Amino acid sequence: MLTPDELQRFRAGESDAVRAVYREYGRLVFAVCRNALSSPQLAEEAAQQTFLKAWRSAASIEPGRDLAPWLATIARRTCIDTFRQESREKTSAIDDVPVAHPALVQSPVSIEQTYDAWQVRQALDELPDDERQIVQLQHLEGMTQTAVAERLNLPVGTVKSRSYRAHKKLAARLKHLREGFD
Amino acid sequence: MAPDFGRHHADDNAIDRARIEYLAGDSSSVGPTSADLRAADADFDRTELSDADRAELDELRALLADPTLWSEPPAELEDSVVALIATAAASGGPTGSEGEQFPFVRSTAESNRDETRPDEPARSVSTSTSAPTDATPGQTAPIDLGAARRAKQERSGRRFTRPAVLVAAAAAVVAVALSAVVVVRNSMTQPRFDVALAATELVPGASGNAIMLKTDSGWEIQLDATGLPRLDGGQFYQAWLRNADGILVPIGTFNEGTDVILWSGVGPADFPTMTITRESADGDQASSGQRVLVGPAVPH
Repeated sequence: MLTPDELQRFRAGESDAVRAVYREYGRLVFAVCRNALSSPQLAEEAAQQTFLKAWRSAASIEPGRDLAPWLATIARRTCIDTFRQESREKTSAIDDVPVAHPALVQSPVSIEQTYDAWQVRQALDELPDDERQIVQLQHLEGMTQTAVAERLNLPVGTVKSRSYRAHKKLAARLKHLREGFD
Repeated sequence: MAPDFGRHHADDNAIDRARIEYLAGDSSSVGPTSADLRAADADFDRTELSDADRAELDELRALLADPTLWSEPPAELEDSVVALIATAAASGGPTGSEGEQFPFVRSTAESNRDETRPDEPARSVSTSTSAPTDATPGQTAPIDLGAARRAKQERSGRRFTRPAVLVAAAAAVVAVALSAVVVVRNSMTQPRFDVALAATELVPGASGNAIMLKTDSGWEIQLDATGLPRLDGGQFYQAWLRNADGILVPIGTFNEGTDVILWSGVGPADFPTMTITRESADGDQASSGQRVLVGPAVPH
């Protein structure tokens, strides 16, 4: 959260204040954009635009308030703009379009998708490093707890304990999300 | 087999515990593990969960397995964000409105979409030598990156206002007019990108801009940077273009940042980030990583 002084300097575009905001929220914003747009390059562009728009509207920021939900809204709108722009930029014969083109492989960005992505990434970032690492190996790399223990050279019991703690936090933190699934 | 989570289970009721264990359950269906390992880890009791519970948790597990949610931003993104905002701040500050000094305006479509939201989106950073008031509905207003360069050129031009020079200038009017037509025609068809460069923490007072022009020989890059101390004696600056995968292409070296001409064999559409680094003539061709200026290239 920004102090009044940091906010003042952010509004002035001072580099150290902009960096402070980016370092607080950059990973979240990029993850949301990456989730929405799939292309790393487009996600990078959208993340840049998100922070630029946030800066443009800095006058409306209240000191001491968490910027995360507000930035999530801006990021989502920016991704929608980017998606639309990419979708209408060119008209080509279907055979000439690369199979990975956004218009072929992506659905339009939805509010729910952005919100879920934002919430999950935020919950993951709040975990201690040792717990997040285990969650990452389990879910992203699909490893069993035994395999995680082997990879990290830890006793299986330690992995299970950390995994349980981490998932307990995730379950509590994302409870509202879980209840919102159709 | 009952899960062995020891005292961590003491405060959890059975259904919550079952949910947590299900969420933390073995994801080995996509993993490289053996059947034995899977069996060893398949030790949680799912019998207490309803189908609805499992469906919800499966959706959450799917999100946790989404690689995009684990993605990390490229290291250069921070500098690009700082550069973008520094450029916009230098062009008028965040509280401007359409038609004023503010560097960006909303497109017509955006204006019509939602007037209540807190952000004021601009589709893209557009840089131009046009004045901001040239913006029309449906277009983004430009950042006037060429202002400093034009002002400099105009100051140079004002030196030649004495009568004798005016006579010579008058004699050349026709030739100038003819060449101007050619120049204008070329500029209308020549692809161009602009780069607003902002300082990193290494040289906080530096800034710069660059104009990238497509020619038959490659991309000619006119760089003008201020605040960079001269480097010499085996020390120099090196300019690079970077793509989204982090691949760097060197585009030239220099000692001072004033009126530098660089050339690139790759274009800004594919390599959209320009960086300037401090380097030494030490035989290492790779970037030192000591970035002093960074900025995104945007279509003119």
